[in-house]
Amino acid sequence: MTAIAPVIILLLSVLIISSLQLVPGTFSIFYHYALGKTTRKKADDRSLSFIIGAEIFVGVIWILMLMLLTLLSFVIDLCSAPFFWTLSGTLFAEAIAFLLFYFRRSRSTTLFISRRVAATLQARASKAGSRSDAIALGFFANLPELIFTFPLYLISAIIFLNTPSLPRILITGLFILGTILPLFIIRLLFRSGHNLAHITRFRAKLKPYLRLIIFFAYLVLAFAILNLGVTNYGR
Amino acid sequence: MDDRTLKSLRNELKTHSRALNIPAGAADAFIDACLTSVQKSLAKKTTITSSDLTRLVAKELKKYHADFAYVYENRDTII
Repeated sequence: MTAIAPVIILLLSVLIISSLQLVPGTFSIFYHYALGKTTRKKADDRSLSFIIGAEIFVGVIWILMLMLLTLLSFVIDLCSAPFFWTLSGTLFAEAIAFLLFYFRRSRSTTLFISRRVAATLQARASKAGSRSDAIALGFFANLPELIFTFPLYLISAIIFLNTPSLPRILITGLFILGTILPLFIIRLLFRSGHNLAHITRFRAKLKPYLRLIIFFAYLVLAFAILNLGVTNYGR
Repeated sequence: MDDRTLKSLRNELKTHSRALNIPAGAADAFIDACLTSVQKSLAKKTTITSSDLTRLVAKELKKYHADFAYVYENRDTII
């Protein structure tokens, strides 16, 4: 059980991050406008640049988390029960915040971010012409969701540092590639003939199920971390 | 509707039609028919909001291409 717990925690973290909708939504708008304003070949190329930008963001946050935990380890015990209980409490709060606030109350796929930020992302997505614009958009589209993903990155970094039995390169690879897998899927859908309407309708249909799945994933993760806190009680 | 608004609307609709892979001739026909119909509807109105305009255009586009209408109507509510 002890060996499986870190794997389950890691997989749940990757599942939640990859299921969030801001980056796939921005990417689908970006690809749509790229197809409308440039050739298909250029649109494919720009879409890869967007994905690279998103990967860079995940990589940067990953490294920052590892640095943060290394610094924190001088001050607090990262394997102690109170630390895990704090994390677990944060995840419970995230679960409730996600259920209540992540998706706005509408039939479409509008999210919790302010309309001004959404309009800025929309405008940037419709105008991103060069590779560097696409990379920057891919990077910054992840920022507003950090409020929901910060604890997940932290937990994954803790697993990385505290679980010598799991190969670290596997953890890093799973995390960095797994979190942006939906972007590859959307890119494949566009290349196979689907359009923004198909993808957005599908996302709108999936919304109620996604809300519940991610809510329960956060809860399961919170309980798993709480369990770690209980087993480490007294350290 | 003034010429500048009409021109920018036409360009935006053309961008969407290219992204949706609608053949250029068909897209031009849809857009012309849609804008003619919208201008007739707006003939008696002095002011109109942007969301009203979006709804009118989407309603006309729905007669010709459902995905085109959907994308235009929901372009501001995807994220």
